[in-house]
Amino acid sequence: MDDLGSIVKAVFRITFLLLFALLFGWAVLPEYRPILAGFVLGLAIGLIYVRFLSFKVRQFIQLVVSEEQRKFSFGFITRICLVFIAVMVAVKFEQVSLITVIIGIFVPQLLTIPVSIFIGIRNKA
Amino acid sequence: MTYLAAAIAVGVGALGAAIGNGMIVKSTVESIARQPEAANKLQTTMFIGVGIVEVVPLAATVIAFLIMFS
Repeated sequence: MDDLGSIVKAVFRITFLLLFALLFGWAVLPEYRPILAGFVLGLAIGLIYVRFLSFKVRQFIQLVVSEEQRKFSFGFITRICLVFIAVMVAVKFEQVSLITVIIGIFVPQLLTIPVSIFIGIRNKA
Repeated sequence: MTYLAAAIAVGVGALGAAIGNGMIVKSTVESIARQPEAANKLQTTMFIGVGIVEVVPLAATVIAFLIMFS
C-alpha cells in the first residue's frame, strides 16, 4: 500500500475515534454541548478537507508522472468554502461554539504529521 | 480600518502560502522528473507540506472574516 493512503486511513480512524468520544460527551454533558458540537462540526469538515487534499495531490502526481500538459488546481477555493460554511454555521447558531469549530478544522490536518512520523518509523522497523 | 486589517491579513497570508506552495510543487516536480520511481514517497511529503502551508491562509481568512462580520 502506498504511504499516502495509509496515512489518510490512519488519520480517518483517529478522527472517527475522536468524533465518537465527542458525540458521547455531547450526549452525556449537556452544559458543554456548544463546545462539543463545535468540535464535531470542525472535525467533520476537517476530514473532508484532508480527503479532498489527498485526492488532489494524488491527481497531481499522476499528472506529473504521465507528462500530460493541462491546467491543474489544488482546489483551494472549494476547501476554503467548506471551511466558511462551518464558520458561518457557528456564527449563526449559538448552539455551536466558533472557537472549537476553528480548532476542529485544523486537527485532522495537523494530525497527519505525527501519523506520518509513526508510519515512517513502523515501516523502517 | 477594519476592512484594511482584514485585507492585510488575507493578502499577507495568501502571499506566504503561494510562495510556499510554489516551492513545494517545484521541488516535487523536479524530484519526480529525476526519480520517477520515488513518486509515492514524494506525494506523501507533498501532501503533508501542502496541508501545513495552507493552514496559514485558511486561518488568516477565517480571522479576517471574523474581523469583518463581528
